[in-house]
Parts: sequence; C-alpha cells; structure tokens
Amino acid sequence: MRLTAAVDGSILDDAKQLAATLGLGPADLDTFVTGWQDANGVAFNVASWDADPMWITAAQSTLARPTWDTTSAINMTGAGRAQLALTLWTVDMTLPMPTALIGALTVIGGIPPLDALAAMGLTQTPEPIP
Amino acid sequence: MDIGIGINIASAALNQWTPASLFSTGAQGAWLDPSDFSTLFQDVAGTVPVVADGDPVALMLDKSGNGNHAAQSVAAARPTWHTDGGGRPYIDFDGVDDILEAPFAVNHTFSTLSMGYQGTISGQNGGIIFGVGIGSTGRDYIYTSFGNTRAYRQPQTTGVISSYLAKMEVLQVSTLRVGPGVDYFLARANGVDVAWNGTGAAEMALTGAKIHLGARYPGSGHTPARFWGAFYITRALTDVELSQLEAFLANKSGVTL
Repeated sequence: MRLTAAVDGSILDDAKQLAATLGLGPADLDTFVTGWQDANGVAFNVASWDADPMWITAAQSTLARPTWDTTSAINMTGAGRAQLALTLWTVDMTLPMPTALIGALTVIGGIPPLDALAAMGLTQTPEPIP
Repeated sequence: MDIGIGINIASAALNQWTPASLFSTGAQGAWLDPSDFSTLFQDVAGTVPVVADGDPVALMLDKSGNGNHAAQSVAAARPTWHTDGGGRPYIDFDGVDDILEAPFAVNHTFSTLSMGYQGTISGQNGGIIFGVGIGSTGRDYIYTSFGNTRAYRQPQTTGVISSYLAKMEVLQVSTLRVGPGVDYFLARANGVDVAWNGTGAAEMALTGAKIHLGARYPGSGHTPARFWGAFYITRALTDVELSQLEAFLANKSGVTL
C-alpha cells in the first residue's frame, strides 16, 4: 500500500527515528524532505513509499531496535514519541482523512501521494526556476 | 531550423547503431536504461535485482561506461519500476520525495541531454526532471514550469537560457543540445526543433555537481513523472547522432516521432 506521511519541524527528528526503526538501514534517518506547507504557511516535511502490510502492523506495535542498528544510531525514545504522535488513515477506513497538524505524524495510505498531501491540507512551497 | 535528417534514415540505421557509440570518443556522462534488468537493483549495494512491477529502484547502473551510477540510499525516496500498457519498462517518480542521484564533478562546455518521459501530474514551477546541478543551482536541465516541460542551460555568455519544449503530460522525447557555433542551444521535442539560440556557451564548473533524476535535490523540485530512458553526454551530438538517439528513446518510450 502506498503510504504518504507529513510532519512539521516540532517532531521531525522523532519521526526520522521512527522511520529508521521501521526502515532498512541508517540512511533511513534521512527520511522526509522539505518543500510543503499548510494553509498558514507552516513548513511540513513529507515522505511517500510503497509499504508492506507488516509496516503498518509494526508501526502500531511495541517498537524494537532493528538488528542492523548495532551502533545505537536510532534514538528509540524519540521513535516512541513519534509513534505516540502517529495518526494513521487507510483507504478502507470510514473516518474522514486527517489533516496535517503541528505536533502530529500524519500518514495516509491507499491513495496517490500527491492526493494524500492535498487531503492533508498541504501545498508545495513555491520554487524558483532551476 | 530543421536538422534535416529524416527519421526513416535514422530508423534504418538503428539496427546497427547502439547508444554506447555516443560515449566511444571518451565523452563523459550517463546512460540510464529502465529496460535493462542487469542494471537495476533494489539496494544500493547492488545485490537484490529489480524483478517485478512495483519494485523499488535503489541503484541504476550507468551503461555509458563512465561509472556514473544513479542511487538512492533512503528507502522511502526510491522510485519504482513498472511496465506500461505496451510492455515498455519505465521508472516512476512519485513527485514527493523520490530522486536518483549520481556525483558528476566533470567540468565541460558542450553537452547533450535527452530522455523519454511523461509527467503524471502537471508540475509546479521549478520541478526538475533530469539534468546536472549543484545543490539548488541548475546547470543543464530539463525541468517543469507551470505544466510545461522546458530546457535550461547555465552558464552561457549572456546568462541563463531557457526554452519551452512541450506540455508536461505529453509523452515525449525531449532533448537539449549545447554546442559550438551558430544555433548553439537547440531544444527539441519528439524529433522537432522547438527553439535555438545563437549566443555562446561557457564552461560549466561542476565541483560538487550531481546528475539528478526526478528532482532538483532532496526536498526540492520533486516531479511526478515516468522515465523510459535518459542520456547525459558531455559533447554536442551531431545531427545524425541526435536523430539516432531520439529514435532509440522513442522506441523505448512508445513515442511516434
């Protein structure tokens, strides 16, 4: 299932820790890119990927340090905070899609990524030409 | 300006022609080919091959022989491999965080970029599809601006030059050639000259530069798009070579020239 996530700067670092905990390696500490904002101009960081169903289960289960993290690169306390801030919506739910909120890690699953970000109330920050 | 080479001639020659010849003179650059499974991997170490529709692409080996392999170490930022309705393989960039990059600190003056491509959603101003740049600074690019595909070159003797190519959502083989002499900047879409300019190119200093596919750099200019193939070459191709390359990419992407 295609998952699309958004998080503001207040918990960005924690969200990166969670992404790495559920990810494949230390490079996943760099998950989330800039370039999006809400209606008030608050900057949000985003990511989108095709996730195995086990990812959704793991994101809502007790977190464990991945076996590849032999140097304790991940701050598991931060990952835990991000998990508590997680709002997960998937296309099979009858609830309305969540909007991106300050202090929340919002994840929408099952719809195209740019549609998901629009549903969260986010737009791309205007870019200059190259 | 019409470069004057009929596509039938190029097609006839295609049987004997291979894009590898474009690099045989020692030109730098990259040839990225989604149709060649031997060059596609799900991990940056190159141990897990891409084998099925929807697989992530973490590493795309450069077929030019120059070793400018495009990679993405962050799992969420990897594009995915698919085939289109005609069975033609392509790589899909989500327009959110996907990007492939290859270090490319090769100073040069002349260049040719060409790619088979289609935008999946009209892009915003400044979205980058394919090219070479240093951080936020563009050098040679095919990019998007308000739903259009454009060619871009900096530096040249009079500053930046930029030209409309086509609507972004049009399946297209887009080309930018920067060469010596008159009409040094040539932009082409689907085998047709769109624009050219007679002012001179200047050497590009590319310390710290990268080849980018799918975005300007991580977090900027991400473009929702499909790629059937892309070439970057540090020389101006001849008119005949240009027709051969465009015919090759048209065949890969299902474009009718």
